[in-house]
Amino acid sequence: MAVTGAIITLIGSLFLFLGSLGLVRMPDLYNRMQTGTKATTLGSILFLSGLAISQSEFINIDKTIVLILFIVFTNPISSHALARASHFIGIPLTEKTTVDRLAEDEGKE
Amino acid sequence: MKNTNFVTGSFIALTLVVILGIFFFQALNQPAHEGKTMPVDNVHLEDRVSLHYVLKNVNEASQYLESHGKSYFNERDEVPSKTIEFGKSKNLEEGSANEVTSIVVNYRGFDTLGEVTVLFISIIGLTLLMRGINNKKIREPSLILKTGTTFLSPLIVLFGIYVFVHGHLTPGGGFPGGAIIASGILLLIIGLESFQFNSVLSKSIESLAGLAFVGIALAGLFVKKSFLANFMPTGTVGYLYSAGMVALIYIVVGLKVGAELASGIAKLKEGGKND
Repeated sequence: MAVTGAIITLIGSLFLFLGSLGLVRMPDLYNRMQTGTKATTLGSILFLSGLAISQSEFINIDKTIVLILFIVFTNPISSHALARASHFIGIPLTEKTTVDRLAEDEGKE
Repeated sequence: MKNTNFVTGSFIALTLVVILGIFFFQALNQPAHEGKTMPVDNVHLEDRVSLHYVLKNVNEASQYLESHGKSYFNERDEVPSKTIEFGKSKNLEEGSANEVTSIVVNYRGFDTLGEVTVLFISIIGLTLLMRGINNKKIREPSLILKTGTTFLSPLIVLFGIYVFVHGHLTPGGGFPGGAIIASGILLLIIGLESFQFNSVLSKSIESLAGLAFVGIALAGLFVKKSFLANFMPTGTVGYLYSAGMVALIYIVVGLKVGAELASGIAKLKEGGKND
């Protein structure tokens, strides 16, 4: 049990590391937000579940499930709202952008 | 009509302030009880939670006491080799498993009362500053945010209630719990256009919670002859019904902080109206 939990936690920390690397390497705010959300959501889920498996005598599994559900719901919604708001106040996209559906939708109305 | 109401209200407030000032002065003016801040009956040295807080570790505290105790603390008290165990030890001085809570609410409960008052005064200052500023239009929330708000905000408020109800057992307590509740209300304000913040309800919750805090403190004054003394049975460490009035005070503080911060957030959105 302890080894399984440790391996899952290690994979989760790898995802968290990739997310933080993306924060440095990505070209603009939206891409950074995307790495900072997707990778950290998966990383936190793996980290928490690995912790619950390896330390099962200290950590309640049901509390861990509630935590994971909270992360799954709040993280994408909050980053969606943040990205939308920063698009509306005019933070520029990177030059490599090929399509911007939100601006097209706004233009139609 | 309005003027007489104002005069009566200020008279009642002034009377309350004078009475509270007399009690506070009495509480501060008490003798030091040979190093103890409050008169506590039948509590041995090893049952004092402050000692374990100072020594940082509940189970090693008694070993430290065995080696240093008699010379370091109070020579008259016997120092038996007893450890405080989670879920087993009964009738400690505080009975609070979270030592920070026992410090903040009991040993420094007077300080906490002051902190709550500071928050209240700052919200009043915010209301005064917002006078004359019209409400800003918020962009219509997207479908994702609307859908998320409907099921997330009750859960967030529930989590805030959990944090302050378990304030004497787990990290957290009144102030973080109140802030979490206020963040749930903030989500409602941003995500649901039809949501109307009920300022009368929030003000009455806030006032009742403040009165309840002072009432519990005065009950301690009457029962144990010290302002904010822990007068209720403390129970077993780690159980929900433990720690006496520490749990009650944190519930009251959580409600008060939540209502205050939520009304501040709503004031920022609505702008200063003529109230």
